[in-house]
Parts: sequence; structure tokens; C-alpha cells
Amino acid sequence: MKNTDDEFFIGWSPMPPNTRITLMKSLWILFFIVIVTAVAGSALQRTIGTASFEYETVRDFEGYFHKDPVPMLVVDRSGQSGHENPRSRYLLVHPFKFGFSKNSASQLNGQFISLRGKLIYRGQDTMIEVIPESVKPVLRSVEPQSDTPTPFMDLGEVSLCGEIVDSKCYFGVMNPGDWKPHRACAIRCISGGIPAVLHVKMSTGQSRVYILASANGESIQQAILPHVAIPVEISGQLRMLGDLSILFIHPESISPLCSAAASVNRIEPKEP
Amino acid sequence: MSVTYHAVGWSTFKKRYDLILWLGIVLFLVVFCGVSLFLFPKVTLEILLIRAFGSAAFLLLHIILCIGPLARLHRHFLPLLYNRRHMGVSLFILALLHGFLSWITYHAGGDLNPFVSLIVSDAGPGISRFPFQIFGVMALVILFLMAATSHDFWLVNLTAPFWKAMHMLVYAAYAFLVVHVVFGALQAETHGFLTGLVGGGMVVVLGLHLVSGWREHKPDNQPLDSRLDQGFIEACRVADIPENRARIVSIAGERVAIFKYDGKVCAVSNVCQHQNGPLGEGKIVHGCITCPWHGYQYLPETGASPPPFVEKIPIFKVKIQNGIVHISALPEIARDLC
Ligand code: HEM
Ligand code: FES
Repeated sequence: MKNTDDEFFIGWSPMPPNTRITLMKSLWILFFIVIVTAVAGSALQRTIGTASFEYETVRDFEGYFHKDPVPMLVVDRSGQSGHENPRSRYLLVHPFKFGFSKNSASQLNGQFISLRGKLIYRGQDTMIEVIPESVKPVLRSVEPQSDTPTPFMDLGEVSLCGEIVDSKCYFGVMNPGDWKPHRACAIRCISGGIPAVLHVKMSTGQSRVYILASANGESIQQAILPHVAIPVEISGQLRMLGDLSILFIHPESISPLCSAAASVNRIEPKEP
Repeated sequence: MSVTYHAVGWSTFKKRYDLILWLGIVLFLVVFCGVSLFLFPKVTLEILLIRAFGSAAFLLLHIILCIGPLARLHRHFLPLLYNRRHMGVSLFILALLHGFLSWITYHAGGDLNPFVSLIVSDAGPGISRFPFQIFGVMALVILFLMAATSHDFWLVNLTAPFWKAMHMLVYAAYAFLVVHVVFGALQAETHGFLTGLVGGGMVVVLGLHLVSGWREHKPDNQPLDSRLDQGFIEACRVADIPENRARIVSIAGERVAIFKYDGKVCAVSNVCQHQNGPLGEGKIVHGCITCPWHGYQYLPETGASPPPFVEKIPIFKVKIQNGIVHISALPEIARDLC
């Protein structure tokens, strides 16, 4: 670029003509760059899913509380039409980055309770952010079926590739709530007791979520923290609890995957 | 100095500059949020804002970094440089909004102090666990220091060399942010075009700096003969200096601007007292050396700004023999006119 004229711009005097032309051209180019980067940066995002958090709506729920393998509310739908499954299972968590309190979970286990909370859902996966003070045992004269825990359906040993995320953010509180940008947050959530799940992208392109539970009854939350939000392979015992898929694991069985083949399921579990 | 001297023209251009700057910023934010909400209506609002502010700040940083070398390559780009410090402050505001929202969203409300969480939570061994947020924090600290000291008050009080060194930290901030984005967002958002944008941005920023740096240091900026003869050095040929303009020569690492005007030649330090602008790329206007960046003026004979202004730049003695300009190896302190 050569200076071909003797124009000299001074902020406090009128702008010379050629300088003005270059400036106008530069501004048009800049606005073009602004629009291209804004459109590309927004339209090419791939991690935002169809997950929701009803943060403005508090609902009432009633059902049986089960603390294992993760705290959940089992709501009987057998009398209602439009529900394929007679029981809906909502995972339960507390506000912010905390899981359902362990103490209350032990006390409430197996009881019929009422609670208030906000719904979080991603596809079939549902969760309630419980208002802790709203949880109350309810006395019922006729015991419905849900208090008898549904037996697990054992699907055998599987090896899955995917990403460990915290269920609360991934189910909808943060959308997108996975991979590296969300790693620190997922680590805090899982460390705070929110159930960890393995998010697997099936070869069909669909996503599936496996709740991670301990194979030996000891808490796995801290042991899995180093493996959160990176591509991993996990082996464990796959069991179905209603429509929930639960993978019982030993944290030592988690191995990092170095290939981008992450989130591609190696051995697809049989459909129940 | 020109602040009060030329108040009307100065502030009109400045206002227009700021208006266009913020129009551009708002346009980016509206397009980014609009397209995201249209295509992904379930996106979480905080994360949408985090992404919009972060991306806007990163783009603005690229623009800021390109303006300097562009203005050096061609003086028609000088108006872009005129109010660049407001761009810097706007960049800091966007970056602060992005950083603060990220900090609250991803670190607050957990089982660890959010300040500690910011530093330790995403760190771990191996490339896939390489932390990225801490690099954003370091860049934000630099941008804060630069924005907080951008006023001329700090330039005077911190002394020009210190201020300049501190403002060079913007390159460290840029490097930190490339790491922040490459090891952060780009690990999740893997579309090749986005990676290409970040890579392309780096190529443009580095390319422009290399080309303008090469131009400044090319051989004809060296004195003709660096031997001292009675304290004088052969600098350049009179014929090589354009009328009312300067030629810049490097003497012992110091840049000296040698101006030709009204059949006379003078030599002054190349560094403007305002914000270290390159005086040698300026012009003699109304008999004064006028800085290309914001129009500060100095009298060529004395190096002092015309009254009532008080800035002074070092000047060098000049001797002309056989059409060759010789300048003193050491500067004189500028003499006051008044
Ligand atoms: C306290 C300081 C900072 C923190 C805690 C921080 C945190 C983050 C986080 C968590 C993300 C990922 C967000 C997501 O995609 O969900 C991110 C991305 C990003 N950050 Fe920062 N950041 C900081 C400073 C900065 C600064 C100073 C800039 C630029 C001037 C910047 C530019 C970006 C860009 C361009 C992205 C990628 C787009 C996006 O995903 O937001 N960050 N940052
Ligand atoms: S007038 Fe601002 S740097 Fe010279």
C-alpha cells in the first residue's frame, strides 16, 4: 500500500476526500465482517439441544420417594390417559449446584411425599429442582402400587463411549450444558451431589443418557470428577429401572478416549 | 493539547466515531442473539449472552489490533485510530460482562468458593483437561489495566515508557484469548468454519504486524553513515525528504523524524508526547509538526507546542553538507518559546 496523495487527516479539521472514501469503504467492510462473524458464530453452534428448565413455574408433585440408585420421585400415572408408562420417574435435585440432601433422602426413602419444584426435561429424561422446605411426607389410607420398587431389568455388561455430564445442567438448566466450556460447572455440580450421567451419541445420531451408579454402594461422585466433560469409555452393568437406563460402574473402569470417536457408541446396548 | 484549542471539530468526529462503534457492537449482539434464538429457541439466556458478549469482545480485539498496522501502512486509515482508546474501553466492558456472567453461571452456587473454582475446577492433566478459563481471567486483568489507565492523566503520571510497555501487554492478552477460545469453546463447537475464523483472525493480525514492522525496519530507515563526526551522524539526503513531510531514521535504536519545510530541515524525536504517536508520519500544518494520531502540534525549530500548550519533544541539531542531512547524535531538550 503506497500513500499516493498528500492528504493528511487531523481530527479537528475537515476530512480530506480520499481519506473519506477509504474510511467509508473500511466501514462497509467492517460491518460486513460484523454480520458474517455474528451469523457464523450463532448459526454454527452444534451443542444447543432441546432441553428445558421451567425456571419461572413452580409445580406441585406427589409420589413415592426412592433414594437408590439416585434420589427420585416415582409418580403413579396408571389412571391417566396419554402416559405410556404407568410410572414417571423424576430425578430430584436441590437448587443451585447441589444434589438432593443425603440426610433427607435416608429419612424419606420409600415414603409417599409431596413437594414443590421446577420441572427440568430433555426428551424422556425428567427432573425436579425441589424447593427443599416443601418436601413433606403424606399419610395415605390406601397404598398404591408404586411403593414396591420396580425390579431392575438386567441387560448385562456393556462398554459405552460418551461424555460424563451432570444431569441437572444437561437435562435443561444449562443449554448447552456439555463438553469443555461446561466442564468446570459440571464438576462443581457432580461434586455437589447432582447425579452424574453418561451422555452417549448413538450411531443413529440420537442421544441417550445413562445414569451412573456405584457398583459397590460407595459414592462415585468424587472419583469420577477427573473424567467429567471429556471423551471417555466406561464399562459396567446396565440395568433398566422403568424407562431409566442405569449403568452400575466402578470408577476405575473409566478410561479417557483420545480419539474424536468420542460419543460414538462402540457396543450398543440391546433395547429392552 | 488540541482538546480546548480545536474543541468543536474534535468532539464532533469523536462522537460520530463512538456512535458508529456502538452501532457495530449492538448490530453484532442483535444478530448473534437473534439468529441463535431463531435456530435454537431452547438456548439458556445466560449462555447466549456469555457467547454473544465473548464473541463480540474477541472480534473487537481483532479490529483494535489491526488498526495500528493498517494506519502505518496507509495514512487513509488514520481516522480509525483517532479514538481507538474508546474501542479499548468498549472491549473491556464487553469482556467484563462476558467474564462476570461466565463466573456466576459456571462457578457460583456450588460447594467451592467461586474464586477458587474459577482457578481449579476445569484444570487437570492432559490436553483434554487443559484449563481455559484462567486464560480469560488473565486477559481480563490486562484489559482492565489498559482501560483504567487509558486516560491521558495516567499517561502523564505513569510516564510514557511505562504506559507504552503496559499497553504492549495487549499482545499477551490476545495470546491468552486465543488459548482461551481454542482450548475452550472450540473444543465443543467444532464446526470447521469457526476454527477457520479464529485461525484467519490470527493470520490477519500477525500478517499486518509483520508487514508494517518490516516496512518500518527496512534498510532505508538506517542512517547513511553511522560514524560520528564531531558528534554528528549522516542521516539522509535532503532530496529524499518530501516537502512538509518527514523521513524517519533510526539512530542507536531511537527513531528520529527529519522534516523538510519552507526550504529548511529539522530533526525531532519521532515520539509524540500525547500517546507516543509516530510524528515522522505526520505533516507540517500551519508551520507546526502535526501528529498523525490526534493532531498534537509542535514547532519545528524548538520542539515545543505553540502556546498555551506546554508539551515538548526532544530536538536534534541539524547540519547540511553537500545535500546530506547530518544530525547530532544526542538530542537537545526542547527550548521553550515563551
Ligand atoms: C473472567 C474472565 C473470563 C471467564 C471466566 C471466561 C469464561 C468463559 C467460558 C466459561 C466460556 C465458554 C462459554 C460457553 O460457550 O458456554 C468462554 C468462551 C469465550 N470467551 Fe471467555 N472468559 C473470560 C474472559 C474472556 C475475555 C476477556 C474474552 C475476550 C475479550 C473472552 C472471550 C471468549 C470467547 C470469544 C469465547 C468463545 C465464545 C463463547 O463460547 O462464549 N473471554 N469464556
Ligand atoms: S496526538 Fe495523540 S499521539 Fe500524537
